[in-house]
Amino acid sequence: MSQGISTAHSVVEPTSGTRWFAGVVVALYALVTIIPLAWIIMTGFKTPADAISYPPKVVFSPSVEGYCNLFTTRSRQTPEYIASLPPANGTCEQIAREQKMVVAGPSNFVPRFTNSLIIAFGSTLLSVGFGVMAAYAFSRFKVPLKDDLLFFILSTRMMPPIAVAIPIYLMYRELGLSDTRLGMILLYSAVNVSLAVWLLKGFIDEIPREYEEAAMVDGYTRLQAFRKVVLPQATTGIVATAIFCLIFAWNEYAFAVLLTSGEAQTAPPFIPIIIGEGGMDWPAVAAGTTLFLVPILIFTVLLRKHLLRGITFGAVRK
Amino acid sequence: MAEIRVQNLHKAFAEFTAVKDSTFTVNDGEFFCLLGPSGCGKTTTLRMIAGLELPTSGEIYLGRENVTFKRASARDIAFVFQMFALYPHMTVRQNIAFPLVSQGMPRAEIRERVAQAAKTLHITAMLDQSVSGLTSGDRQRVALGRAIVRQPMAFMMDEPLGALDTEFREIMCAELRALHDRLSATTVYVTHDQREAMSMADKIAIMNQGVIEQLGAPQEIYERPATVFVADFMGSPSMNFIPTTAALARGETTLNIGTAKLPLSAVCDDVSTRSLLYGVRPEHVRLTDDSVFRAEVVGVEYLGNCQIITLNTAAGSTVRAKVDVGVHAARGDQVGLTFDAGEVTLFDQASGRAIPTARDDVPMSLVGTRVAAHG
Repeated sequence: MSQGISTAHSVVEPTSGTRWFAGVVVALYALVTIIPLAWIIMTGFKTPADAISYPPKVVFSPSVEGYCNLFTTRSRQTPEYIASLPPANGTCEQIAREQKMVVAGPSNFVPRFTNSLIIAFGSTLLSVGFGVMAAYAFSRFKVPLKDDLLFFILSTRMMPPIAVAIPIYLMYRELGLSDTRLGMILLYSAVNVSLAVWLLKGFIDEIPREYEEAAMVDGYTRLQAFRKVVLPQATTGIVATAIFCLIFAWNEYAFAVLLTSGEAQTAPPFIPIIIGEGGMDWPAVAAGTTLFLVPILIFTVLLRKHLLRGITFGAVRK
Repeated sequence: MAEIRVQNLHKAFAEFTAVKDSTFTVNDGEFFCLLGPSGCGKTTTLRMIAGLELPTSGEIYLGRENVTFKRASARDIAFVFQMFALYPHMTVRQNIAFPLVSQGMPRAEIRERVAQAAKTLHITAMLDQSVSGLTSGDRQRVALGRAIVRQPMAFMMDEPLGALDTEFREIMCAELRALHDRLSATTVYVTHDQREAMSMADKIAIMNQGVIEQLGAPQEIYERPATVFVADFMGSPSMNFIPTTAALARGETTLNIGTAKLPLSAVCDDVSTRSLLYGVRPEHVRLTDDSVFRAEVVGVEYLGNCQIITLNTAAGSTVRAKVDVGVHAARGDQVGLTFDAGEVTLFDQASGRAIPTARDDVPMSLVGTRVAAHG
């Protein structure tokens, strides 16, 4: 008899001990990643003085000054002038007046943020669009030199894109693409399309050919079959790829610094250089960073179901 | 519905010839089986008829029309895949309606046709379910529904029962044949399972390495195999082949193997000295004590309604006999074997082809009644 050996638990399921250990590890990791994030969000609501106080303040009285400074430009005025003004309308005006300043106008944050949205989503659309078509072709057709082409596409990712910054800078200057949204969209698409092709090829390879063949026998052209059968089946992969592409394009800093200065400047080069009186305006920088996180967060949360399934693709047979 | 005519069909891939010079006709309303081991070219042939693969040479006619190089979508052929190929992002109803939508049929008519197809296949209750929740048998029915709803000229089926478990396969076999009879639909059915082919087909083409070895009704293929391959492939356990070397004169009715004279139907032509295979099916081997063709029992498998006895002949070949459970045999027993001339097929070992005998002139139907009388 197997006395003393408990057979109540499955041998393949983790025991409560391992579960507990895994829980602790996950919690630790979450802590490490969440602390900087929490600090940024907190700093956004501090006053400039609180933000640079030493020792750092964990408990503080919240203020929207950072957000005001992010969205507006202000100018210092004489107390007499301020006294002559009608009562302040709006919180930001009030905060400015307390510091002997008036709001002079909106800052560049909104246009820069809009640039970021247009460029990131535009390039994601383009790279996923081209990526899915190229991936389908590589997956289904006999393409001459297929393996070499695929390797070539992958090889464009083998060095950091910024390594080719100078040729691209010169090229863009000649073509008039410097500091244009179109230029940035094209650039990010070019970088992302290789990732998109490789990721999506994996997903499309997993879709049985019979689906399209069935559609083609049933009277559809290949293009119709692609649209009605392959694309819906590849949703998971398309979403996962889109998120990867979006995150790259949204966060990209180096090219943005190099190639944009005004018109097409994105948020990443703009946020860290918000200067207040007498140095960096840390609450405003933190406020900008917090807002900068929001679109990716929304996009990822909306599509998280697909993303989770997508990242583990190939691991489990459908 | 229409007949399908395939002429000198040939398909070569880079280094591999999948189908060699196949010619056959599937008559209107016929249930035609392409049977063979995997890699024999049967699926490639089917895919060429459906337009999913283009032939290297040869011609395919659907009715009177030459469709050899037409697009799949322009052929009016329905295809049922082994893995069903039901679209998981659509409901059962949408799946069945899918081929009709491509024709731009009005919605009311689509609804009507889908309902009718569903009724035929008894899947009306699950029309609005998602396909991912269905059992494999129901998926198969939905796949058939998608095929019949269009009322196409012909059906192509690529091992449609391959993904089902054994029990369900038999039920679907019967349903499929009944469906075929009701629709009298020209059907080309690919399978590697001889039992499926035998039970459903009007006509079977046995393929091996891209070549059609024999074309005929199930009974013809089973009773009068044209080649060693066909004889070996059909039947379970497969046909016994007793090798010998001999010359036969025209009209000869016996073959000497060792000291025994084994019976034959009269040989049609002179056969010069060569290696021959004396082929006889296990159910036609009888154990008797008075025969001079001796063998030793080396194994007995009891199968409930019969038993399979494995024997080693004195000449060194292995013979399997399918006998009644009443026959007593035990390992080590020495027994004699007898065969009926009418049940024997003689093969030329080098070419693998059957040697024509007088039996081949007897019409099949007569053989049928005789076998029936036997059993």
